[in-house]
Amino acid sequence: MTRIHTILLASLALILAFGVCVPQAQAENGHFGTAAIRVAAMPDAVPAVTSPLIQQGMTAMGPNPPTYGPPPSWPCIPAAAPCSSDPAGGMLVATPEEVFTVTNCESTAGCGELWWTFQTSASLTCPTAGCPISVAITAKQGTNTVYSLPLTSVGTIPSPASVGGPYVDVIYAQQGFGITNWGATVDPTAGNVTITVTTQVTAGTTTRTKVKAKGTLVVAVQ
Amino acid sequence: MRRIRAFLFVGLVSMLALGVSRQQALAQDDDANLSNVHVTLSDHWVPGATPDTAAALLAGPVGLVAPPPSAGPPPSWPCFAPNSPCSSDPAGGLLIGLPLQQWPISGSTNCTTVPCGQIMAMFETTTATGSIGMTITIKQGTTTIYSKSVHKLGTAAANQVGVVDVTGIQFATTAVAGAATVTVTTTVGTAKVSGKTTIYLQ
Repeated sequence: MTRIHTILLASLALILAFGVCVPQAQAENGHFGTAAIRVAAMPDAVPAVTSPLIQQGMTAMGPNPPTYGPPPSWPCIPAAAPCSSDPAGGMLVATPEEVFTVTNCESTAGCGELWWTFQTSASLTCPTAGCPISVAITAKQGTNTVYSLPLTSVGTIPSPASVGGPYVDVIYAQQGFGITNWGATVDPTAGNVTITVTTQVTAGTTTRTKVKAKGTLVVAVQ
Repeated sequence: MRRIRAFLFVGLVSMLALGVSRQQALAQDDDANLSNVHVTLSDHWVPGATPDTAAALLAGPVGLVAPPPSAGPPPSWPCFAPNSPCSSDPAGGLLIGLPLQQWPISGSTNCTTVPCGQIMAMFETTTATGSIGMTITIKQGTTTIYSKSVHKLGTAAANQVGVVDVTGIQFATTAVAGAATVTVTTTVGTAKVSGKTTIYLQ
């Protein structure tokens, strides 16, 4: 069974929720949200022995949601609100775009919403309390870092076995660049920005192993 | 008599098309078999951005996603809100299939024997304009387990966001358990970009 839950990252503030949606963290200057596990209308996949324990999916950035909620306008997994009219198996996301303005990106609202997905393998095992999960984000223009979030704990994720099988996570963050509002030491200039997202899960019940998935995205700011 | 000949000719063409289309779905393609291929365009949405200094064409994410429940047209997804059928969603959102990294090639659902997911690839134009084309390959090492190449899917204007999608993805029987790389190369006019994702067959 494929299951989904979403994780909200708001600026430096992080929220992780899973299971029955218990918000666990706080935001410094971002937006709060809730997340939920939802069942996708997909056939079961047999356990994999050859795949990584967590597998990077799509990485993208698009407009901030009109409503931050909770629940936000997006990401949203049907048939939960507010995208309850959409069919199961879908996912409403911020439309991936690649061109943003320096002005917007330096503002408190940021360029837009960064989001990425990963899927767990059925072979991922976790303690009853779940596997600790951390995320990191870097945004670079050449050697200049216009945003950096070091590996930061965002809570735990459940063992796939405990929720019926592998599941997909959606992580999302309001994302900007620069010194004033985003904690960087350098402001962005017109040109490409390479964003790298890292998801780290500490797997295992007795022997603990840190596994990582990375995604990259290149956007243009001008 | 002329009507009968025309009917027979149409029937012959249909039989030929049907006869070759299954092979094309597995490995090759052509421009005649476009029933499962779409391109959807929307105006650039991010406010305030005037895409005039970036590259002519930029690549967005690539995914092998859950198949749409309705093939349409229009299909259930991808769907730029608030267009039909995702008209209840707010503008700026995009309804897509859930990105899945694991696909079965054994058991009750075997993607080498039945069509499974949908490949989607995003792009954004700044100054690039013209005919849209797309080439997809799914490879395990040097073994190609799916390929498709189509041209003249539509016409893109400047400052647009687009998504190309192909439904009914079915792997060749040479697919084996393990990683596979999905590569989608999109062309708009003379501009070209590529995107990739890694999936795992099991």
